[in-house]
Amino acid sequence: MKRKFVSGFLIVVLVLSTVPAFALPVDPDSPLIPIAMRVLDNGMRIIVKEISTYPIATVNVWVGAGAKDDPPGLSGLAHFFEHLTFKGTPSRPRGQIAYEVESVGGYLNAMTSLDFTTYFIVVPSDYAGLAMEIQADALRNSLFEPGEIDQERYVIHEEIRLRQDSPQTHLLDMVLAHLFPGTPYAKQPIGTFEELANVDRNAMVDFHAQYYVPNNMVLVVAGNVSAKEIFAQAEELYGDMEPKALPPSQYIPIPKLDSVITVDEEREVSQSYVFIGYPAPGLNTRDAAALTMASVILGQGRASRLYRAVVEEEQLVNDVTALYDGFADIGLFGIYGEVPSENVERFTAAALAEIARLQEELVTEEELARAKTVARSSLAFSNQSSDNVAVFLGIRELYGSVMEAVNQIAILEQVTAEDIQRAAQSYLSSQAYVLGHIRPEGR
Amino acid sequence: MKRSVCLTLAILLTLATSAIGSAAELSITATVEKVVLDNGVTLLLKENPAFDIIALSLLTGAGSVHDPEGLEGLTYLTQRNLLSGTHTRSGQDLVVALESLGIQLQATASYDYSAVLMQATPSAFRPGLDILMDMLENPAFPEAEFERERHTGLAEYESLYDEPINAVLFGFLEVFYGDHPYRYSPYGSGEGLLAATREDAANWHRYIYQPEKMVVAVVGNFATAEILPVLEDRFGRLKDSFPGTPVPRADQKFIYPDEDRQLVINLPTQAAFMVIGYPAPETFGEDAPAMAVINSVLGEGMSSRLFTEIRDKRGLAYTVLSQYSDRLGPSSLFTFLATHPDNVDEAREHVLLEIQRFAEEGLSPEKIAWVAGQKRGAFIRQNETNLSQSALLAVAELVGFGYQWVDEYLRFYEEVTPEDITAAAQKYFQNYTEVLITP
Repeated sequence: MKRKFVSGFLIVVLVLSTVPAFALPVDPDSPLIPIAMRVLDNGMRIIVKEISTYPIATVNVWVGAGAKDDPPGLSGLAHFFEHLTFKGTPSRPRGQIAYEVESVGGYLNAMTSLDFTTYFIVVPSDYAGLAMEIQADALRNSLFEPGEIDQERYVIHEEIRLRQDSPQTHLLDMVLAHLFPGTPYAKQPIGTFEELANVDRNAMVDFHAQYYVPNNMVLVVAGNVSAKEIFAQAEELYGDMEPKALPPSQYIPIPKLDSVITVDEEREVSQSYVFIGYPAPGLNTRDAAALTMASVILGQGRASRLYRAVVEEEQLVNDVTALYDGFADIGLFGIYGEVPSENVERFTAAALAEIARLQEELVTEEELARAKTVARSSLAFSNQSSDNVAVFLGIRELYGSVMEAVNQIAILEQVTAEDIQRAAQSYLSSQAYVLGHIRPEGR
Repeated sequence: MKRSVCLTLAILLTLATSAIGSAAELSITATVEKVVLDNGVTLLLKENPAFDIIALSLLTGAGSVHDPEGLEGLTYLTQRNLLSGTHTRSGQDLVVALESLGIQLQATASYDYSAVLMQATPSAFRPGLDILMDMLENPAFPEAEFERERHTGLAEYESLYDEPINAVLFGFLEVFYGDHPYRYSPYGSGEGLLAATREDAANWHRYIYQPEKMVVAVVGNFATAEILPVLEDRFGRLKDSFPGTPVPRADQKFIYPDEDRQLVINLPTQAAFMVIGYPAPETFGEDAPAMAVINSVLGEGMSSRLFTEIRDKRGLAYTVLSQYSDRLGPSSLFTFLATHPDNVDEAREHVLLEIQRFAEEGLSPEKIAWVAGQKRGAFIRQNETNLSQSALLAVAELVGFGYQWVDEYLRFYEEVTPEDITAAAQKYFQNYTEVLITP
């Protein structure tokens, strides 16, 4: 199965917080309303977005446990656990889960992030009930057989090697380790060969008992379904789970860099891969929206400032992009470039100059209006797919409230040039950042 | 940044949802309107008010396989320059105008087609269409922009090889196809990209956008009565102005050798990357449905034989799959996996074993029916958006089957017989080509 980590390169389109300054009434023009939500007695949240125009459904469970919850000495456990949830239950031997889903033309996948783990099944909507039943069986009744654990350990070893062999993925892993030092976010969700060796059945069972509890789970179903029927089936499938107190979550303050940290590596590559990274606020903060808009203006698309400066005018780089991505408490802002190795210093200088410009000057009204239009239409295009809708709703519920998804466009409209300048001044710097660099050998 | 049973089915349907637009009733083509303009452009329109979006797919039957000899990559380079400027707008003017309207527009080149894909809100569609027509009718190919796109295009082509997965797949194409132009990816070759001139690209643009090669499919929230006259007007004025040079590469016969071939590339990777492929029928050929069924059973999805045998049972790989490549000409069915370098021989043995099973054991009618059901569901999943529907309709029309084929082709899988499977496997799975990247 193709799995991927939700991390820095996943562009989250728009965000905002629950803080009062941004508290908004429900946006009556939101394309995401109406949505239906119910909280089971045990605390499990069920969200349904009925889309009756196409016969498809996405069934998507979110669990508020990710790599940051890996116990000491067991890095990679949350991700390892996710692999094991497809390996069999008392009623479904190994291979049966995938077989049943794919029998109806469905697709299943899962992702482990630093903060959460999420499980998808996308099926023709006639089979939404089947998908819910299979997913609940996997999440509640996985066997975690020792033989399967040992076998899957090798699979994860191969996954680690694939990440290491990709210059882009490896670059991001290098940067994250230095961007959030001393926090759980500094490690790779996939874990290490050494600590994966320590994972056994007991670790799996304990992790399941601790985190896979209804008050730590959100079920989102989007597509051609009936909310009433989904709620009834959710009650049947999950209603008897017992809620449980979760381990206290630790607030992670945004790390403060006070110098330039350079991490580099040589490889057999044709060009340099460069990432300039900054610690940033988490997804549930008011500055996240401003930084998202800053990333659009700075480096998304051919009309962006960086593209015009370093691709078109100075012709220093082959490609450039800027991004913001947020986790629960912290996030990152970054500029990524694919650069001829002789131009790395000039590219870095040009990128930092654009950062300084964001801090010193207000973005123009025209730029801001265009960025809002781009973000708004991107959201509309993306939300044609039931799986995108489910993710959009689920991640925001897990990080705060599904209403932040509903009000996304309205939130976007509130971002001002002053917000962007203030966020740039607060989180970005030309003197303190992490510079990740994968360079061609000998250069 | 750059950057896949019937036996249990009945008892597992624990909850069927409300019947609005059920999978069994789905028709992509029922409301499509087709108009062929005097200049040869085919228009397909489908109203779909489900989303407040209009998608346009413009496909032409000019792909990288037609790149002139020595100018491999010309289609890709020409498409990269579509946003470089017109006689009245600079490249930046075009980009700013499109982004200000919230329009996403992408120009692509593939093996057998070129495409422009556009998504817009209904209010932005007409101004967006006018910008698109300006790019099609009045491209300027400014020298500085052309050179910049050549430079960045070449860098993108070279950087693809930095990812071992790309490197092994490109290596496979080169060995598998020998002298046939499919040996080049749509990016072409470094030499071809360097050799192409601005004048070549300007003339090739006229080759790509010859009206009689062009199908335009529009799906979304519009009224046909309002949009059709606009499309007729805009696309109706296109003329064939291709001067005849550079000369498109002629069709070339593909002869697959009677021997197994292996290429080993040593790179300092952590994993070993292996592709093993066999000849396969062209995508719209007679044997294609049987080969597609074989591919599904072999390596599509988590219940496929390769996934089960190599990953689930043996833990040899994280990624293992097979792919039956879309080609209007000679195609391939290949397997890909990445494994620990020490496990290459064991992994290869299982891949070859699974492939040979098709020739020796065939497939049961029940398994074929299972695949047909799987294909139907996958078809529904993959055509959810206006853009995906417009592209599919355009492809069907372009290859000459007619857009109605979109709703009909799934029955081809249902009509595959066990004998078809055995015959296809015995015909195609004779000699393989392997490319291996290993430290």
